[in-house]
Amino acid sequence: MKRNKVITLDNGLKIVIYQDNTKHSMYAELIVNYGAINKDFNINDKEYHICDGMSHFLEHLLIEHSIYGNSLQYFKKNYIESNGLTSSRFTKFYIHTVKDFEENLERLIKVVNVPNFNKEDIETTKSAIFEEIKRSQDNKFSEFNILKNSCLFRNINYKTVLGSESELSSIDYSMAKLCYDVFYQPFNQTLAIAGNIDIDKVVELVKSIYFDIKTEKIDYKLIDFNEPDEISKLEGSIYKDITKEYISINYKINISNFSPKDKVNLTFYLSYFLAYNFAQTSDAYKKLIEENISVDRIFFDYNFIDKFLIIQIGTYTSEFDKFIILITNIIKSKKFNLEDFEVRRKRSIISLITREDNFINMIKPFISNVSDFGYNYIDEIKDIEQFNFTDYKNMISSLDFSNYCITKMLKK
Amino acid sequence: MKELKFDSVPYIIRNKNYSTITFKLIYSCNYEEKDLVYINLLQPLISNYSKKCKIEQEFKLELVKRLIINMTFKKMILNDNLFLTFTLTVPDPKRVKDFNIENAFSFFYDMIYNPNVSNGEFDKKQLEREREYIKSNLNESLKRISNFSYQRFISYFDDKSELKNNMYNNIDLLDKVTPKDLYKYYKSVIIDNTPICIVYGDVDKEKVNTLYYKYFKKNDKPIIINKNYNCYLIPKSDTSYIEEKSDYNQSALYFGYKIEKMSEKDRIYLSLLCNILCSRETNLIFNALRVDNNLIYSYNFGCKSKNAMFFIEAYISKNSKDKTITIIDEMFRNIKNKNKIKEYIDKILVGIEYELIESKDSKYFKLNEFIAKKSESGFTLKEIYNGYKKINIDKFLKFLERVKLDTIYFLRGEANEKE
Repeated sequence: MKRNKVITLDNGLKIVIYQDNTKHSMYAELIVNYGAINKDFNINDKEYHICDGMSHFLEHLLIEHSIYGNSLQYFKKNYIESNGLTSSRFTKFYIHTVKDFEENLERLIKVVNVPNFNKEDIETTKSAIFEEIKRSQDNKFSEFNILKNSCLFRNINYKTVLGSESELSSIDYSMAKLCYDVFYQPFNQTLAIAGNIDIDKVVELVKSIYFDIKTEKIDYKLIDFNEPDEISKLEGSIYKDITKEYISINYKINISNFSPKDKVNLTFYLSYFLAYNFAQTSDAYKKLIEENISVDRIFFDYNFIDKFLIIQIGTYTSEFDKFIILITNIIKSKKFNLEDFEVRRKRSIISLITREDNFINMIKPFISNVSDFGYNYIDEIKDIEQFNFTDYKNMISSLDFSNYCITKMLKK
Repeated sequence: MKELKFDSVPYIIRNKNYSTITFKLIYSCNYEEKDLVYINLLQPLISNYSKKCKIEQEFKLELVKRLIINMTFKKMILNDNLFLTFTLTVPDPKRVKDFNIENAFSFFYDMIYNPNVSNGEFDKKQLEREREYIKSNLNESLKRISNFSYQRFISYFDDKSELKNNMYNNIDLLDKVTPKDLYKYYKSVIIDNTPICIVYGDVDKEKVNTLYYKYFKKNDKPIIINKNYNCYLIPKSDTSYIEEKSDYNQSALYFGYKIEKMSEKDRIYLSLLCNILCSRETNLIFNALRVDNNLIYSYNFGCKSKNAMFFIEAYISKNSKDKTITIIDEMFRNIKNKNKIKEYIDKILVGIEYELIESKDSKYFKLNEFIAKKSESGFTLKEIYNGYKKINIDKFLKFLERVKLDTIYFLRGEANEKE
């Protein structure tokens, strides 16, 4: 049997479930709405401004000093895949297992919700992260992303998820405990469960686990970025030891007036639009090769930060002006093609059908709908079938592409 | 050398559980070192252009319009044997209405048999472009610490130029390939060759054969492969230690091991050793370097039984080098304990039992196991399980005596090092 559901418990915890009894394993992911971007908050009119890297540091701290010891080691010794991940907006902890799911679901929840770290653990946890920071410093795109953010944003001031070495060194127990107490409250969490489970049974189990976990409610407010629509800097460059130069055009688009369903639809429509105009099937790509602008393809991607949609379009080239003209003209003209739209919509339907082959491919976009967009429904074929060319054109046309910055990675 | 026989009729692997159908065409040929550049140039010229779609954009658009999920061309080199594999993945027509499987298959066939060739030559301009693309990517990728450090490591570790025979060490040969040479090579490995065909999904044998033989001639002759996969590296009499400097922030420390007097029978022992070192449930390397001693954020592990080698690649602080060497040395000494080995084997066996259950959810598990078994290029999970169950621990201990630390390579990162 295949079923899906979203439930919100009395404590505010959201549970996103995809049941697939044709499968043999189970997956659980606990998502905390706390990422690198959440540095500034207010408790009882007192403002707190935390350094970069705290959310990632807490991920390590909880995993490495849980009530089960190093929880990754604990789970793996017991034949369970497990790991954690921090992004700009979330921290996630997951398990994937074929056995003893209920017991291990409880352990996962407790790793995250029953903190066990002390002052000594703060320093020992930092060692591995120092190495992780060095690893990212050796990744040329790490610094490039920092540059991109500094050009795009005036008030959103996080640089990296990991933080710098000096920021990491500055973290102490009281700071870590405060951030934990503020952000790791159940109402700030989403628990996603998928696989060979029983929805009703698992919901009852989760309720009982959280009932036993005592947390003190802290009223806090995230300090609004008040990020304006305008970019901070029109252009920025870094110099790296590279053989091919890189340019990215980064668009900052306010989508605060989009409803949750609009945002979900936007992800589809935007991927059609970007693919039609910039993928290897596009005229732009053909022009890129014919005019020797680049031997590479055009790279494009998007993400959501605060109330903004950020779109990046770039390539490896030293023909910066030619590339800028090519891309900005295409964006200005906003071309659409009915035949292309129909094919890509059909491919979306195929993608939804083949997604069901793997329940993790089902739960991930479902989590994204709920956590990223506040839309409590799974993608269904009937939703895609309702997409139409007029809505597609109108939605993309409504996006304001006038705010963009250009970032370059140049040879030293 | 051993002879492997394959049918020239399609192998059908039925699996009703998934919504896609996969066609694999595997061309087996002899491999010589000089062929490497040809293969690397052939790949993009076949995968991006065809006679009907001479421009890459048109070719890629056809892929989209024909609703092809995936179409790839990959190579696998096993010593003297080369396998060129073309894979087509499409939706199952029973689940996606209006999907025309023959439309997709004919495009797939054209990709392989009708490349953009005229007068016995590939298109010169396209060859130039792909050549430039490969060169630029190779040069850029060497700036990454993982690629750079690995190439430096194998330059000392590889005594037979097995691992060193890669594109990084053959960039200059790319310029020597002409459109005509490339076509001659292509003809020898594809046109004049008979592929092994495997079809995987909820498929009917009759329908598959009807489709397949519309494009391929019936041929009762079996396909013979002279299996010669192994090229064992020989350990040096003493461990070499090499240290070099770099401008990276991280330092990379490699431990390269070779097996003395390796034979086919040792493959199961080598597999067990690698599992003890880095399987999920034992994970000695991670526990020793990260959990117990906080020396690393991450490490990599590589093993090639056909070369009788494996290596550990750890990213550390430059001042942790000596401690890391001591810990790895201690770790290997501690493995040589009969009771501990029994413990590890028991744990790994349970892990494999769970993996076998989990594999039922894995879409391509059945297909990959079939290929590994038929081509004898690797153990299936069940073979590993049975092999470990039967292992004689005394013999495994004797095998461990033949595992030699051949090379320690340290690439010291000098940029912004924090103590």
